[in-house]
Amino acid sequence: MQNDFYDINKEITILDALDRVLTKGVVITGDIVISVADIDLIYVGLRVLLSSVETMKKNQRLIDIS
Amino acid sequence: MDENKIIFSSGSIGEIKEELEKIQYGNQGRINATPENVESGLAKLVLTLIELIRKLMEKQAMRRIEGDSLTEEEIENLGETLMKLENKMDELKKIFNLTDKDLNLNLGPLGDLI
Amino acid sequence: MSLIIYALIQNGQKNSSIKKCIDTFSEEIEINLKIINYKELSAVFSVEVQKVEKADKADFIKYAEIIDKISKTCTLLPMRYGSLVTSYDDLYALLDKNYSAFLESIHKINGKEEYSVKVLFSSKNQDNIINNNLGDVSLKVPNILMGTSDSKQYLLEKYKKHTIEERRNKYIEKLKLSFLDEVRKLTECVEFNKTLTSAFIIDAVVLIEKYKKEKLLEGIDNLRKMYPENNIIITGPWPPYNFVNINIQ
Repeated sequence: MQNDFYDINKEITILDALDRVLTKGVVITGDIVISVADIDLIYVGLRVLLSSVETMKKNQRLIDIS
Repeated sequence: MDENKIIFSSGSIGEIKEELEKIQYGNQGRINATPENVESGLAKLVLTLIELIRKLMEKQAMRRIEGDSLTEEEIENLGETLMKLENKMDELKKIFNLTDKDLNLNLGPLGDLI
Repeated sequence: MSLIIYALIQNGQKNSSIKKCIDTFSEEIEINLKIINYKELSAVFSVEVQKVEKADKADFIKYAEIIDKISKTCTLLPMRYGSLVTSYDDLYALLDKNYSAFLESIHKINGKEEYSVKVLFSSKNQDNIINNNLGDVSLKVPNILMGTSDSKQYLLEKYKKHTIEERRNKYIEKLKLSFLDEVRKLTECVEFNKTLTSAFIIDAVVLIEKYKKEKLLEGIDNLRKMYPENNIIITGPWPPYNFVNINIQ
């Protein structure tokens, strides 16, 4: 019982930490597309949505991790 | 993270954990077009936009009803139109094997579309 | 080559203790953390010789852990996961180009910590909780929807759902205002995240001075007394992820 409680707390801490590290903080990923196979994550910066992939390739670094 | 960051909680911590797990990034909508799934990817995009407009119409209709500014005839038309639209959407969803949850877009920093 | 950036810090008198902390920590996690200085700023980063092929949950957690650890010794700007540049020149260019924005942000968050406050509906008796709080009002059917036609029946069902949703929103707004009443006593730095599931009432983050932690707990306990039966959780202290809104140009 004691252990279960500890695990849940730890889980919540991790979930909260992941939320921060993947969606918050100083962004230089606005220029980058990351696609992560393992947990099926894609973060698309706003500018990526708005600019075409072609211009992006010309102007910015496109990193595709997958 | 070896450290426990919970400094206060009340109610059911189990329920809180369940909700947090639901919003993990793996579960969020995305469009990932490959040659095999491009058709359903496109359908997903189009249906998402239609669904957004349908929901806006529904909301607007409720405001008009609250405002009591509709005639008998308008009410009949409105109800029929919305009903048909919803049925049509259900059909399309079935055809493309999409659920309500699929009909949303994660706009990154802007959050979800719907 | 990739330089993975974890955080930006302001260098100064604490330099040696930060350096020591980072060196010890490097050994612990077997990632060689490095620091470079540029004027008043320092960047903490590590060098990956090979292209980063794959990232998974364990990598994200490690990344968060590194930032968390460094934040124990000094004020920092946390970077989002995926913040990497491909050369030292780019790293210097990044610092140079955004120097004043970075510095300004660091000053804003100096000595402060982020806490997360989440209030969620308990799965049981949601409607009762709302009704108890807002007062029980039975549904008034608008005259125009009286009738037996399919159209009217359909709209009536929609209208009922709409009314329930409105009351729910009203409850959420009310709780949000009470929450703001409590935290505005401590800080102006409050942000609401978009609530992602229907169980969420508020998902907020606040930035407060370290010594105000107990006051925050008191404030949220007041909120709990006003709105019992909800699930509430506070986590922290976190590095100020939600208060470093800089987009690198």
